[in-house]
Amino acid sequence: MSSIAHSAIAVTRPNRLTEALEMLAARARSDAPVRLLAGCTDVLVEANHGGLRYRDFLDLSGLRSELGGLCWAEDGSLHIGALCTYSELLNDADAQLKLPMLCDASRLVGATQIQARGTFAGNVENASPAADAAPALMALDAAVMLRSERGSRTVPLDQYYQGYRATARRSDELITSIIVPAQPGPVSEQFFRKVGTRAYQAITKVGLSARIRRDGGAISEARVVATSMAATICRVTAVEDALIGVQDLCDDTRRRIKEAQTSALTPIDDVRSQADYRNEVFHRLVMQAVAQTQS
Amino acid sequence: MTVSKPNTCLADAVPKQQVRVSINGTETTLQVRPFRRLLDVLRTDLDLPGTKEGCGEGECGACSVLMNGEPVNACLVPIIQCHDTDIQTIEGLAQNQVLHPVQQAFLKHGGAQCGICTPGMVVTAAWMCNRKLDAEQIRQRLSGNICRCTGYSAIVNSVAEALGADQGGEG
Amino acid sequence: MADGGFPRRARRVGRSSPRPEGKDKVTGALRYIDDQRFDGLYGATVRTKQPRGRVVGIRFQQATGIDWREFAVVTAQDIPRSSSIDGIDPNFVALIQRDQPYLVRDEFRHVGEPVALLAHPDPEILRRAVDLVELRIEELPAALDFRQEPNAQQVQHQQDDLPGNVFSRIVVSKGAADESKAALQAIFEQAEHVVEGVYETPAQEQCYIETQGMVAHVEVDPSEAQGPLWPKKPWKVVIEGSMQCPYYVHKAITHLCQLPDDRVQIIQAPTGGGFGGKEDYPSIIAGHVALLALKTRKKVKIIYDRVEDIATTTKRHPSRTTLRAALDKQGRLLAIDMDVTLDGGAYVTLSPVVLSRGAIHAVGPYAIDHVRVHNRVVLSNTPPHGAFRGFGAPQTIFAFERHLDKCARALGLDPVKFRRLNLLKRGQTLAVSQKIEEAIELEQWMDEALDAFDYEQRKAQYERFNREAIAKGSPLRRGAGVAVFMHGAGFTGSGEDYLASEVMVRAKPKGIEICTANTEIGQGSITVFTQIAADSLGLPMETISIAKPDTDQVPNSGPTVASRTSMVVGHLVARACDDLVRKLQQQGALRAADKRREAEDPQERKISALAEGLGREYQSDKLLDALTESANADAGPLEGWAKYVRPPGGLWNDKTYKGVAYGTFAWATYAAAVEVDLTTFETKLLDFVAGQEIGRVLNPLLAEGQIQGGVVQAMGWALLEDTIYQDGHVKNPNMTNYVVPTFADVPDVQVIFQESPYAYGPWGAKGIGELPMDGPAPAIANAISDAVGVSIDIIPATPERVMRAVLAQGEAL
Repeated sequence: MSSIAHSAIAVTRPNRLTEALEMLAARARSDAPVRLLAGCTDVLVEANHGGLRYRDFLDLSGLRSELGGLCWAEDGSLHIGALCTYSELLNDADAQLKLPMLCDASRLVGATQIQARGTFAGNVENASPAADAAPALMALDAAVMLRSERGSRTVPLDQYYQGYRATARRSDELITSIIVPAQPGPVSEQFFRKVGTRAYQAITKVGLSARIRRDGGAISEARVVATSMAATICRVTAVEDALIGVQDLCDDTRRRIKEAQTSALTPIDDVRSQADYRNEVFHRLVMQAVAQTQS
Repeated sequence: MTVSKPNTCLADAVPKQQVRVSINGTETTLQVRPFRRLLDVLRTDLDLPGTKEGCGEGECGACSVLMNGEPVNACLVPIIQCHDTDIQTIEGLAQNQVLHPVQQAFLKHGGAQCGICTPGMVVTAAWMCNRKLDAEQIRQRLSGNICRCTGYSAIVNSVAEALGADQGGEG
Repeated sequence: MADGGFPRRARRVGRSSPRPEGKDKVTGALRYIDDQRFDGLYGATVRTKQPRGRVVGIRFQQATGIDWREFAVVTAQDIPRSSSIDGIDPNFVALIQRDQPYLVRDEFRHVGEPVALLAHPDPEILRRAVDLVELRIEELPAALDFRQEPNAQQVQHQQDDLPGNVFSRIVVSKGAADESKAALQAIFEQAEHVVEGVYETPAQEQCYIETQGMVAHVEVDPSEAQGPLWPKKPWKVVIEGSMQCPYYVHKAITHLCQLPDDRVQIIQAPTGGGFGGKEDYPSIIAGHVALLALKTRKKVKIIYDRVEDIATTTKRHPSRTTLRAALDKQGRLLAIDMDVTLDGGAYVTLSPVVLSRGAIHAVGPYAIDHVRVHNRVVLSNTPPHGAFRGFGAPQTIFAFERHLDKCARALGLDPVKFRRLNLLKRGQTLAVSQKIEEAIELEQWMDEALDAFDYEQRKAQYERFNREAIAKGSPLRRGAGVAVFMHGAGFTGSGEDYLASEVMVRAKPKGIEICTANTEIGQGSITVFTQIAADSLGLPMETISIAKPDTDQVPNSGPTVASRTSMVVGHLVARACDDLVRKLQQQGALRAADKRREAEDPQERKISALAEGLGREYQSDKLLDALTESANADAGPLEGWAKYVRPPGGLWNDKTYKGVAYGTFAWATYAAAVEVDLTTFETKLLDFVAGQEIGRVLNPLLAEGQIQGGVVQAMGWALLEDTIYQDGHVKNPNMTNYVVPTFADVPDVQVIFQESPYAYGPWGAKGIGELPMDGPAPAIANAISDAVGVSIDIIPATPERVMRAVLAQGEAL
């Protein structure tokens, strides 16, 4: 169970996307998968603590011209390149106006240094149940663009996770971008709250990313995404369903929503928090989101 | 057991690669194993130990350096990713023996106590120069740098003075 | 005592002089131990993974890339009992008791206990190799919860007439409690009110940002460059590293290596924070590097990484306290019955002393006639708990100050009014029967701090805020809390007598050099010593230099602990300066003609030369010339010496636990304002005021910074920091999960000083290093309790704990 030394880790750094895809395909064929390096804010922590299971990496940092940056498409959707960092998004004035919940989430990833290095695609692919940006993306109906030598495909983020730390990405594929569709409703529909272990440099103990649309007072559409409440971040469709049609929060409604939550989510106790807290606070956050998006 | 002449590296070590990087304004080409941490390259290979290691996991910020002008944790950067980048460390901050305004302010306001977090703190603060930030914004942007001595107030005062930002508000 | 005549005139003292070493800190030029160029071997420690057991075998597993012939290995077998000269096993760390081994011989008592040491030129190979050393273990029943009485199998320590696993017991008693338990009980039975409570505090990690580290080499006769571990001809070991107390390490290493004093040299490298964590533990690492250096005859370095540091080094003792208070109708405290248990961890280390400080500070600055504080520290199978800023006092003060709020609530009194009724006045006695003779004005000092906090208005405002919040369904609640407390400076009782600290100052060309064993660890001792010497001699700061703490070069001025450096050692620095001037006079190097002309400063004539600092009588250029001449003299430079002399006053009795516990105390009132969000149960600190009387402020900027730093460290203890043990393992040994405050977790801490000079501190100064650790946790817990209306009696007051307390009371949002 001895750890892998840094000097034993091989890194290939292609300068073109086609080279990267070629290498991924070759490795997939020989059943010797490589792990991808982007901002390294997760991989290096594992490596420094002796927890790496891979010794073969493909570094994407040479592909900045093809995978970097973000752009707004004409239809109002946001295309986040695979190497786009949190600080790049936070420097984008339109993002602040149109996607405040994604900016809130980005601002709470680690702190300055992590935001300068960490990428949205890395956060999505790392598949942590305590991810910060991925749940906001999920609540915004974002989709993941994957590419391989065989072609491209798009997977909605809410279908991307297949279990603890398991994603829909095949070993020959690469995330090229994440697409956040144009949000038809006002920004007041967006709600993001991270309850972390402290103000910054915090891991999420429980979090809610939500989007709640109303039609004449009653909730007509809801996205409720839970963080640190299950093995993956996830949409809580039971709660979303329970919210449809809700106008005011009477005791009965609260109870119904809580029951829906309890049926769908069974968080665990760990070193950062406990299940009773996660359950109670997640419920309260849902109530707060409903109340806050009421006006 | 006696100590015999050691191998120079692990038997399974990968070959060294070439990394071209500018460090404190000087172009350098390194021969180095690709996954070696920028932190180790600076401290051990280049004898620039002003950049400290506090936690090895990007929590404390003691290893903060500027990479292409932005503060990063050198403990979380494999050296291969520094290829074609510009790295600035604490050693490169004072120019010709003249202290950077942030360094001067730290001296005046007691921003350094034991001094171990100070280089990383100063580097991050230097990145904030030329912005107008109020105390809360300073605290937010420096939250990736942990200090266990000062209780932070003296550092906020130092940075505020260096920024000339007591009037507040992001400009 | 001849020279108790402070306050002296101050020129540098009282000013915010900048740190002489500051520039090297802000430029990163200062080289801490791991920054120094090094071409030697790296050392690492193989540790146990079970909480208790016996090591029955060690196996070195084969793996590609690991050639065991390249490694040096040291185990307990290398330190035979027979190598002892005085009959005491050298393998035990010399501290209070000799029960903790450097390396496990057979039985071990905690996870992470050192069993073997490895050295290798390549740190990466070394790191891999550590995991390949397999320990064969027979497990033994462990005592994992200090709050539970151990069963017979779990007992590992039996001492005197104490129950099993109890390391030390102290009983403080006063009034009826001196007579009998029954007499104390009678007061409780007759009291109008009796208030009870139980309080718990966690193990806090010092979390200095520089982890522990040491480098050692040995000087042996060339003929013994190879050969058995222990050289036959005279040899010397030299160790440099991160530490608070070079002479503690020195004592430990002379015992381990069975060497005379002059064969062990300990040097403090620039140290990146200590907070107590580098008081006792460095002796162990020093022992380890010394053993590896001895084995290899090479330079060896051990630097802990953060995980190893958190998982294995000392922390603040966890505590559990039960409290009963008897009160009369008006709210006067009649009697206190308090039961304190500290978790000592696996070995005795400094626990009895920590227990003592907790016991003495437990009942605080209040006039209470009948007191019983029963204190014990017990074994548990975790790494030993040890020194941490405050040293037992924060634990008991948390319980007591939290309990006072509970009493106030039971009586329907405002917590401040309630404290006012019971505050100590000059001439009254503490729980240890020490009569306070110094001019204390606790009520006035408390009011000054509370005025800065705007206590009355704030309370009214928060009541309104909470009423409105409830009315409109807002989840936010605000509250305010205070704590009033004191902290004694220097060693307890006769401790300073035993230390018998000495300071030397030496003439240098154009100045002097101050030689003490006290270490700069961030607190500013270099600056303060320089200020003190500058004023004692009437010389500019630049003429004063500070010798590196190196046991070959500096006398033993005692450890850098217990808020003693400025007050006790600073006083010695001033006296040593006087002694040097006296010697210059005697030698004729300074003459009457060299004195300052009277017209130069008419004010000066009024101040006695002794109180002023002898050197100040002379023109500074003449004094500098005399110093230069002495420095260049064939006979060597003159040295001024000062040795600790106990100030007049009563004695301390260790048997009865009564008497003068400390020569003086610093007195403090802290106030916290919080906002609790009942959606997430998170607490936000809104404001904090720290008011304290500290005798004399030697350097306002440094003093303020030290208070702010201590307050924030205590805020972490109050709200965030918790070492989580599971089956004896630390479950959060990293800075991701051991959570200390960031910039954004804390407010700006407002600091207020009052000055009532202490006659035996330099210019009246008292110690302040530990004080700020005492008050924040109870003030914050009191504020949270005030905000949400339920008692928060366990810290850290995490959102989880606040939630459970609130829900238990049936809060509906």
